[in-house]
Amino acid sequence: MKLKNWILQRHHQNDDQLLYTFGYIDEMAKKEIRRKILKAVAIPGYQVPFGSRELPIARGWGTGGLQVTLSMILPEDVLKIIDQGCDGSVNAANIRKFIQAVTSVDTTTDTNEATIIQTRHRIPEEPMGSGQILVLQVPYPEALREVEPSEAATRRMHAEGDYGRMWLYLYEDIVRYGEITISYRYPVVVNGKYIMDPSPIPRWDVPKLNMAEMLCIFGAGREKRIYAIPPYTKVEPLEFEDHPFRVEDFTGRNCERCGAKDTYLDEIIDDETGNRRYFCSDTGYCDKRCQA
Amino acid sequence: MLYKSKDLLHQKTFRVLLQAMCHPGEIQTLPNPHAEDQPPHPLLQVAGAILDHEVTHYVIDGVQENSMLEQGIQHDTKSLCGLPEQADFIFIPDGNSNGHILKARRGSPEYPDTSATIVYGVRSLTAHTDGQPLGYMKGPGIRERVALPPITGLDRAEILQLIEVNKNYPLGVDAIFVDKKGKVLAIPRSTSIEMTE
Amino acid sequence: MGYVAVKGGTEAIENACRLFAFEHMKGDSAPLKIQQIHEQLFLLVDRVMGEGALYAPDLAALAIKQAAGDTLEAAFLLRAYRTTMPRIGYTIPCTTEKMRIIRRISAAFKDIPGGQILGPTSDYTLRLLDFDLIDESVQESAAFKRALTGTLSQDATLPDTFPKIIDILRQEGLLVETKKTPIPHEEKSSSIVDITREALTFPAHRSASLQSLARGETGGLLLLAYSSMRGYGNVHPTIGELRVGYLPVMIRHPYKGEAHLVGEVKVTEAEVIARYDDAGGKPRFTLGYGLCFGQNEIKAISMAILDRAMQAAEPQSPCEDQEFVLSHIDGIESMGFCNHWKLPHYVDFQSDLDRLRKAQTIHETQKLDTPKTPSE
Repeated sequence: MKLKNWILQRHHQNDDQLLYTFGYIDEMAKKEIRRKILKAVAIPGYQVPFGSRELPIARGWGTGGLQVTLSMILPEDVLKIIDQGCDGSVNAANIRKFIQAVTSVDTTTDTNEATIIQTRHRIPEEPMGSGQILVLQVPYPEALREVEPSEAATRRMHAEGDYGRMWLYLYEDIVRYGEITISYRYPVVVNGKYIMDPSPIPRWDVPKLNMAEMLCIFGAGREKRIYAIPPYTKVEPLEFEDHPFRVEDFTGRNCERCGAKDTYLDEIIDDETGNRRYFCSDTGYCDKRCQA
Repeated sequence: MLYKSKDLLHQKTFRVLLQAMCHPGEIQTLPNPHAEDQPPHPLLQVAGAILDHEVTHYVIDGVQENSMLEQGIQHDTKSLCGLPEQADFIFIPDGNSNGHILKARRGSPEYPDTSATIVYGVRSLTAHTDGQPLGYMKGPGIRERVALPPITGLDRAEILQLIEVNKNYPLGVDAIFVDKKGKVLAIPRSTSIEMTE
Repeated sequence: MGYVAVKGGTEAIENACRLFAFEHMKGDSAPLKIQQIHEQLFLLVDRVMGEGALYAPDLAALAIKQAAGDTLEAAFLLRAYRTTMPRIGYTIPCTTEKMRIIRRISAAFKDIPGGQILGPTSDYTLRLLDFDLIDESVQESAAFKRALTGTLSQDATLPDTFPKIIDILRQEGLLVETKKTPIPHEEKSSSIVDITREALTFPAHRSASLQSLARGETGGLLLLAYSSMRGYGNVHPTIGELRVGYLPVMIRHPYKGEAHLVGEVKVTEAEVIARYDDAGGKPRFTLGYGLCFGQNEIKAISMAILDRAMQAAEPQSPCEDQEFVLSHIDGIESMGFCNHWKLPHYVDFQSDLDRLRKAQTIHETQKLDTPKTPSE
């Protein structure tokens, strides 16, 4: 018989097939991601390879984080999405639109209200608690890529704990510039074992990962890797005794909008005067402080 | 918006398993399915959330009803039966593997995630209240240390074997315990267990 | 001027999408029909199906229309659509001996059993712009079609199959046999990897490698294969056989198990005979293999060359490095990542600014500490 008739017959026999899949991704894809998330949590800081499906949002725009979120989000969750700390930025708005379209879940800009926060390149200023999940979008899952382009080689380096070249790279920075120049993607050691790339969060946010109360799951869609840091896990930035890890320096500056002196600030060039102005990168937190 | 209710049960079940794996030693509860559906066997409910035809499983023999579990897993998830040394998931409905977990896949140094996951069916899981516990657990997910909760239906020998299998971190297996009432406990390989006696 | 936090992102995005849709409507021309794209831009449709990894000519035509001709975007649309399709089964494996040929040539021999069938190709056309196509009319096309089919003999018998040239070489003991390798770090019983279900790991199984090549971006594959041909490689290819035609798609009845024909797909297959090797003792020719959806000969040939190049025992050039090739040929991955640089990166840049300012401070301090030279 003709193929189209065959397909039509199947549809009528099994109406269940037509029902919309909650969360867009089909159930089998989700099961694979769930299995990999469980392995990632069991081996903190280790990159678990996964199949990584295509989504209607391009590779490089958060498909890894999306697949993680969609494989676990429930109708009763409250979702917050940020990009560069801002709920309103284009990437955040686009992803929020997509997730709402395929789950109808409630959203919020309040870090404390959210049960799942999906983020690109920042960790919220307000500490997250037990039971909350932070999903981070990752472009480069491999911390050692800077010193070794081959995946086969970096796999072996992680397996053997052979991290000499990474330390050498940092040492050469100090010799040349007097400081470790890595800004975002600052390498950390997780649970005393794996060197991990915390995603392009600024140094400012790295200390938030250590012995945190929330679960952090990292999703790299294009590179097809998932990794995780369970709560209460040691996460230590690579540093030398005489060159300790330092966060960005905002001394003498504060947010013009809410006055905060202890947040990561965005530097804006004023249209007219060319002067620099500073505002909280975490707009949700800034809004809260302004309303208080 | 309509979605298949079975899918949502799988997603809810997974969240409970995730919570358990993130907090080793803390007992969680599997979600109840909707009233009109037949409540699944807790082990089948766990299987349904994470198994499919891309992974293999093995059910450790014991009594007659285990072949029902085997059939249930195949039917619900399409996961095929594999050899115990190769299976991705090993189900132990009677709580004791009699040494079988020593042969389970532990992964490789480059790919420690390719190891097996062990799902134990036990009689009951209760929070530890008083007296000296069987042992203490430390590691990721645990603030300082936590007592190993009493697990009725699991021999002390089994825990010793689990410690043995996981002695070369990151190689090892990850264990999920489910009791007849749907209580869940997880012990990932990253947890170190110290017995008290 | 007061600074306002960047809100209104959603509205801006919606307007950008509307403006993009507006771009293809703003002229006076009649909207393109899917049928026109499917029938008249058939090679474009074939390319997009191959890169989208979904055999669906009308959907590919729709994607081309929606993407205003951007092949990377169109392939992306198909790929994303593919993700929503449930996998209901697998076809029965098929050899290309069953192909309903429309084109079949060999460069290795002047004449071959079954003959050199040139088929529809632009290979021999003169690349002169044909201005008559500007006012192509339905009547002229009809007349052309009548004239062409009028010359065909209705009684001509067509062969059902054509022998494979490489089979002839194989029978004469001239071709090396590729060993079936076990899938690394897994003990699965199936003999092929499925790259839509597992991430690529290296060294990759040949099945994973061929699947990746089959959905690879044509320009990227051509670039790497060209580098091999020009000398950054050692393949020295000769096309043993190139076929374009239709393969039957057979599936098994889920309960009764009988085979059923459900359709056919157009594919291009290239078998490239490459430099001989004596790894297995007696020297023999080696083989590179390429297969892709639609009529896309550049892609199939490039695939075959790269397939062979990546089998090099000791990779010396980029095209021989399996990890290098397979990590960079997926158009959806590469275009997505290239495009992602347009996303805001100001938090990261802020962090960079902090580092640079600090490094500059240190540099200044070091300059002040350096003793002056005698001449100053």
